[in-house]
Amino acid sequence: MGRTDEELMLAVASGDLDAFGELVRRHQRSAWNVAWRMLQDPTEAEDSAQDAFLKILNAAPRYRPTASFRTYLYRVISRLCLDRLRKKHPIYTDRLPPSVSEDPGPPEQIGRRETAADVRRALDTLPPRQRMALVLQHFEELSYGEIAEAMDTSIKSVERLLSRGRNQLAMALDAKRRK
Amino acid sequence: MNCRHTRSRLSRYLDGEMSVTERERIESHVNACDACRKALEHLQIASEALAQLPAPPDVPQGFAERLRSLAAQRAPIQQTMLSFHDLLTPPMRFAAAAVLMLGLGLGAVLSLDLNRIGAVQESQTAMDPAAVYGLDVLTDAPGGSLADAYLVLAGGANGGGE
Repeated sequence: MGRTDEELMLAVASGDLDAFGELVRRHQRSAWNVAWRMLQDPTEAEDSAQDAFLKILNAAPRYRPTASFRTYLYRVISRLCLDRLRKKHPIYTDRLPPSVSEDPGPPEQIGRRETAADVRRALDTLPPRQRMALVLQHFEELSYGEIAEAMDTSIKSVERLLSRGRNQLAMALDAKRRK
Repeated sequence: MNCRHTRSRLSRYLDGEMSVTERERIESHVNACDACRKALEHLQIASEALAQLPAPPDVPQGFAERLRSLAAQRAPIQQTMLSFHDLLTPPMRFAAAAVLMLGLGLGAVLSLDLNRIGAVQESQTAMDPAAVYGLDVLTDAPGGSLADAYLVLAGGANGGGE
């Protein structure tokens, strides 16, 4: 039976780099997904995800398993992404994310991609913390308690961020539809 | 349950973050209230829209290997720090901490003394204007000489040189 994330972290604290490698392999997807959804740039997303793991490595001697490693990782990557966004101007892109094929495809697929582009634009208009709350809840499926831990805030605050984020997103899409 | 309370809980309701009892109360209110039902639909639009976003691309190839390599470069420094710490027994660590504190304390006391000496010297210097201006080399100059005049001026005999 494999070691838990917390056991691996304790091993990392003793200098076990194989344990570190195992943690990276298990959780790289989560870190990358959050970074990519927030930053929308593959280079910045990779840098942020890498920085997150290196920060965790540096902090390993002080690590105490008071919360799950997963929540700890989300906390680190959230903070890094929000810091990056704070230093940048808002992103507004007319291009679809790179994962979408350039082939136009049948009409119903074109409609879906245009809608996806509208959603992407609308999401980019949200304040970063509202956007982060939505990403963690909707795509990473964290509970309100886990989101509160990751964003270093209260559960009530998470509730407000999600509520306002959804309302603003819906209003932005509604405004687009009326044009 | 009033509309204000209901709307404040709609996100939780959508996300399944409430008890069964509260869920039933929200549903009961929403079914009877058009405004709150529309507010719920508004939030559902946002959730459905998010579902249309494409999945992120795959993690860049070699990401884990590059990180492992970076970690290995940092490991010797961390290992050295950990090894030194492990060599000391708890009594030795306590003794090392005590010696450090003593050294810091002595340093603080000595620096205070040195500062006091420096202040005395400074005040003595300040009392001797000739020394301040570096003119004390002329103290052997005969009276009435140009050098003597400089000394008088530095001493403020002519109203501070104004």
